[in-house]
Amino acid sequence: MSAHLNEQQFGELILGAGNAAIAEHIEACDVCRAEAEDIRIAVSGCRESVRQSAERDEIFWLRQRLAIKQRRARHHFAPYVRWVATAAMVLVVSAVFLVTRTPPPVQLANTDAADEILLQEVQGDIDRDYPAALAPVVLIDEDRNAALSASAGPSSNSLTKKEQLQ
Amino acid sequence: MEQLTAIAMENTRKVAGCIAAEFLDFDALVLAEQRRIYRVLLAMLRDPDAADTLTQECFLKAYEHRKRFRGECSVRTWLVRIAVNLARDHLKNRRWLFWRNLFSASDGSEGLLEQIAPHASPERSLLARERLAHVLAVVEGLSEQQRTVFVLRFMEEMSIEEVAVATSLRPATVKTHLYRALSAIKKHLKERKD
Repeated sequence: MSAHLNEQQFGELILGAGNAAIAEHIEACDVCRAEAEDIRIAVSGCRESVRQSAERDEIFWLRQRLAIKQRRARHHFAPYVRWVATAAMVLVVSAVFLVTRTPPPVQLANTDAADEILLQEVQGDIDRDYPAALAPVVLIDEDRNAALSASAGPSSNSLTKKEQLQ
Repeated sequence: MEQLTAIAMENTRKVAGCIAAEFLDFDALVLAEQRRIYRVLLAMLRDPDAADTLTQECFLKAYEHRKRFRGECSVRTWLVRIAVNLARDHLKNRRWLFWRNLFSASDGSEGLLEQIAPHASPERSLLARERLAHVLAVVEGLSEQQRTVFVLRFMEEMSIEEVAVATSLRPATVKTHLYRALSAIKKHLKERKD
């Protein structure tokens, strides 16, 4: 391997997955060896600095654990709370609906009209010559009178309707 | 055949038992993994407050979805996967740049550069800090996936397979991202030397 390591070979070397040929090249090539060493130092520096920057005192971790515990407890009861809240909402809406709902207004105009119709019917019954229930009898009687008149001749007097009813 | 089925069922029962045991003492799991998750999120977001909030979110999500965990990877890798997804969503929502606040004095993360070579001479310390700042700037310029795999592999020293699970990528793709990230750092170091 005369040329320098390519991107993949270099990556394999840093990841510790280099083969014998790569190891051999690194032994022989000062440039690649120096570059690999530079990268290892840079990556190691990054790692250390990130780890140090993420260090916090014990109170921070304790507070975080407590927050997780509290939120977990809230989450545990959340479904029940949702059901209770929904039921309460339905009750409130129903109560408001029942309280605010007014009875239908009395239809005075319709009542007057019905009374008027009833009065007209009563007046009609008073004016009638005979009760409405006897109307079929009157018709039968009229037919009978007509038949009698026809058989007895024109001289025979037929009774008036009023007389017949009386 | 029946024997094989019985063995498979027994193994499944054992795995389920282990998973149940791990989640049974959830407080112990939080205690064991909270530092790691916070560190991953801080490295990805460079925002201590967001890292704190998302660490809590990560454990809550893990608790919420613990029944979906099938033991195909370790619990810690699963937690890192949740954390990576949360960080991605956060970056998408806020459009925050990786380590944007690196040089800001008010972001609470100034310790990143302050603690480099604390016992070295002022000149050497300054050089080391400058060098690291430039490397971090190169990392900042990487794509989101390259940065993520770089952080998980080199900051958290996870294996390629673990990184692949945590990022939902194939191991070969993880390697490609790492090669490109290392190539960018190498190129930058070379330019600085020249």
